[in-house]
Amino acid sequence: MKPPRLADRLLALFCAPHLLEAVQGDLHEEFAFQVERLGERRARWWYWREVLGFLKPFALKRKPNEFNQSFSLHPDMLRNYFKIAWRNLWKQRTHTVVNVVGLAVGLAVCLLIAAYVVYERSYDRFNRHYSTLYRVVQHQNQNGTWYEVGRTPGKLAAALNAEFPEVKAATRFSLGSGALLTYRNTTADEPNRLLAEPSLFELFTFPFVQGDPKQALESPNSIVLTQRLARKYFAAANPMGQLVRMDGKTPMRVTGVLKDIPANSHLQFDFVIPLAYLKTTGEDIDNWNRNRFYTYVQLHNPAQQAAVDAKLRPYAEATFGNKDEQFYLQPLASIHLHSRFDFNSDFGKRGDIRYVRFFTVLAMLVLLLGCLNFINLSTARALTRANEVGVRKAIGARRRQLVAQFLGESVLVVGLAGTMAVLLVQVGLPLLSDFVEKPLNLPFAEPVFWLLMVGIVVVTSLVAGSYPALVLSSFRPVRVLRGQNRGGASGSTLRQVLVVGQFTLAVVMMAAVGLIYRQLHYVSTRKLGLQKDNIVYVELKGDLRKNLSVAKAELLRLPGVEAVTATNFYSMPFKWVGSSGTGGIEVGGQRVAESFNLHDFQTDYGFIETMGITLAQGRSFSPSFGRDTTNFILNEAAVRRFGLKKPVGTSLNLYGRNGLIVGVVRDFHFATLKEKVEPALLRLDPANVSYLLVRIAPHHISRTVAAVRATANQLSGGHPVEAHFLGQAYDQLYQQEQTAATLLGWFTSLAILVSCLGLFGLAAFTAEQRTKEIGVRKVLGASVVSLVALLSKDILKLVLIAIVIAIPLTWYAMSRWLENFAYKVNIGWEVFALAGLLAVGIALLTVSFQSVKAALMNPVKSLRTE
Amino acid sequence: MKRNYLGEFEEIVLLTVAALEDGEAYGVAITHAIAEQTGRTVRLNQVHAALLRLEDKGMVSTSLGGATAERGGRRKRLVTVTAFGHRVLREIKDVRARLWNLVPDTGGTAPAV
Repeated sequence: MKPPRLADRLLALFCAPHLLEAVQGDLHEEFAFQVERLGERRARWWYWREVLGFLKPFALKRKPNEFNQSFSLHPDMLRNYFKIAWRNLWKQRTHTVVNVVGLAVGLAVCLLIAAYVVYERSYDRFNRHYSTLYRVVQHQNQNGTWYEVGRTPGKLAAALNAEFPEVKAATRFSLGSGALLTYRNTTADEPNRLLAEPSLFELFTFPFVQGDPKQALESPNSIVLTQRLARKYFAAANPMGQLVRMDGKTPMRVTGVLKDIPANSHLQFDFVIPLAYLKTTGEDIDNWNRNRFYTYVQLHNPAQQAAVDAKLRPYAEATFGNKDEQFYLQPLASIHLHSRFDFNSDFGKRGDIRYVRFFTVLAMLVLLLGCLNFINLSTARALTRANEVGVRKAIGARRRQLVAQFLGESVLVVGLAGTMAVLLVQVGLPLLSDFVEKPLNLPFAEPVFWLLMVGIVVVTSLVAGSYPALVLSSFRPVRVLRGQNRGGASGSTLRQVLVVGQFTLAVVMMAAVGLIYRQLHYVSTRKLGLQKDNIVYVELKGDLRKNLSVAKAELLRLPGVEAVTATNFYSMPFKWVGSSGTGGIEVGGQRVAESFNLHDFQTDYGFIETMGITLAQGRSFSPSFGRDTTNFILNEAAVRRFGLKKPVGTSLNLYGRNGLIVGVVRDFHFATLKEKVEPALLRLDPANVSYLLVRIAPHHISRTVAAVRATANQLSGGHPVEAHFLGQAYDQLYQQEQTAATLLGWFTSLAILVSCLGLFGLAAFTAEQRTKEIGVRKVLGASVVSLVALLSKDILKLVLIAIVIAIPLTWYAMSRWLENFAYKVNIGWEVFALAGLLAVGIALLTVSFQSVKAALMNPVKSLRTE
Repeated sequence: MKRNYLGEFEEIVLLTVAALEDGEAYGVAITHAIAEQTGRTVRLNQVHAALLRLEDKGMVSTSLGGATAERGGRRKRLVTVTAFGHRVLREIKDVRARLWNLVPDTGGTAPAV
């Protein structure tokens, strides 16, 4: 007759071991008694009830140890922990500094990048209707290639609003050239003009300081200023109802003042005038055939996006019979980071999600490096704490307590590092902010930020500190105290793996930076087929266009001006020269069968000469040939595409302009080197030019530019004009890459610094461990050189392995990046050789500092004490 | 921290232990004795809890011993009252007796406590 087994098991499970025997004995004895009293079945029930009766704190509470137990949260113990922690940190100052600095740099880099990433992702979120706003954009088929185009026809917004029940509201706007604003004595060229409809303020959250959003754009001659402009023109006076002169003639009444547009809005402007204003100038803005507006819609519900997209795809064909245009919705959330539109058909400066992702990964990696250091050095140093662990265990510390102690210590170190990181960020953030030209900030005033910081510190301490804590606390006191613990072989394998990991990362980053710089150097120095340096361009504003011939003559008279010409490109550099399909072109009397994009340069005389473009065949345009306005010059790419054997003299009919090909120029780059040189056609059309191009002599540049600017301003009829360098405009094309490269350079240096700190600490540790060995070797006659070699060899081996791993990784990553460029450098072995040599050099330098120190030590000192 | 205070149930357990013969005071026996003497239903876990508290207070000491077959060879936790425990019991008794003496005539004699 036995009591229920399951109940017994349960009791054994929860009852404290030191009580179990007596309790269970009593229960069994009583069970036997109850069986006689109640019968077996009821006795079993009784037993269950009794067992459950023991589910009480007194029975659960374990007596932790048979021996005397110190309470680990006792103030005395806490004081002891702090004292020991502090002593250890102080005793191993180098180690502490290496750990703290490494982690602090890692954390700081992480925070800085986080500020940047958070900012990039914060675009447009201030809008109330953020999640339901969409821009309508299109896929556009041009001569067989589908392009992404950001602009849409003028009629689209109203049509969508009327025909699509899913659309709650729609608006359109245009961001064209700026305007000259005058109020009393203040006149300035304001480039950021928005032409919009009243519904703009329904969709977007741009709050008014003065005026009524519903009526502000009612009258075609009204103007809404941002606070910044209002202050500029009116200072402290009230701008409402005042008249501002636009472009020197049209009076516009101020009907509202907007709060300044947040820097993280994808739509930036300084003032708004009604779209209806264009109608007063006689322009037709309500048509289907010109893509000149940006159209935005607000849906009732973001879930409708797919349905609307499906209806939009055939919309252009169904509505106005254009099957080469397919509209679709782009969510507001993806405009800033995911926009890649062709033909410059987007506005503003966009970010690139790929760089955001790249930097996010980078931040993680640098922090990881710091953590690896921490793990590495702490496990290495574990040995020096072995005795402490032994003593603690012998006097009754349990493993959990030791783990808590060491984790606590790592929280202390990481906390120190965190504090230092915050200080570093305070210094670094304004610098980074300036550099990326964005108002980055971290919310230092908000408790959430500090909570997050504490969270990061705790998580980092757990990640970085748990391994050392587990290793340290696993030491067996008897072995440790007898001096038998020799560091554990597994620890050293881990250490080696970590070093290899760190250096792989460092080499990859160095090689990547090297390659990126090489590519950027290549694009900025590659022969473009034209001379971009020492060319100044001036936009033909105000009366300058009317006075073009006078201006040219005046400019040529200036000392230092070598040549003057004009052309039609309107965005610098020739990013968007009008291009036309070759569908209607006849070459040599025959229609061109193949359809492709032909870039159309409308130029003044002297374009080829001024720009330093090389003539391959034939002649340039010249006033001595009277009929040159109907003649053409092609670039070599066009000649190849047309398949012309003898281009010069062939007739060409460009939409009714019938003329001859009089010359062929060598290919010159008029877009970024990310794209191949496309076919281009040059023609003489002085009436349609919009920019002056001035070649100046390479000396006294600033004086000459000032003179050019003065002359241009004299002839512009009061419209202020600016002179810019073409070379800078070309460099601007790669600004994103430049920024990324510089940032990457900085972060790489930091990553290398962190890796070196780790290596330094490790080398110091190895040297210290082998003090005796070195002493003996020296006594037996080893030379300093052989000792240094001995100590450096192991770590060098690891670095070499790292290089071998890094090469294919870098090669893969960089070929992906270089795919962005049509013209690119080869990934040569030199970059890897250089990065490898650098890595070895840096590692050697770091390690040898310690090895030399160890090798030079007097053996008497190291051998005296045993 | 030893308190001189005894709960009512603790007092009964302590008295019962004192009443039982040496080597006879352990969980089951105490439970049965209390049930017999007071007529209340007492459960084992209550007795064990009270014994642990008494031990904490230093009024009883325990030792293991006296395994039987019924118990599956497990030893008993044998309880004896310490000198301190005896003193506490005596003090309680004295206090009660003094208090009874103060009670005016209730139509009966003071019970022998």
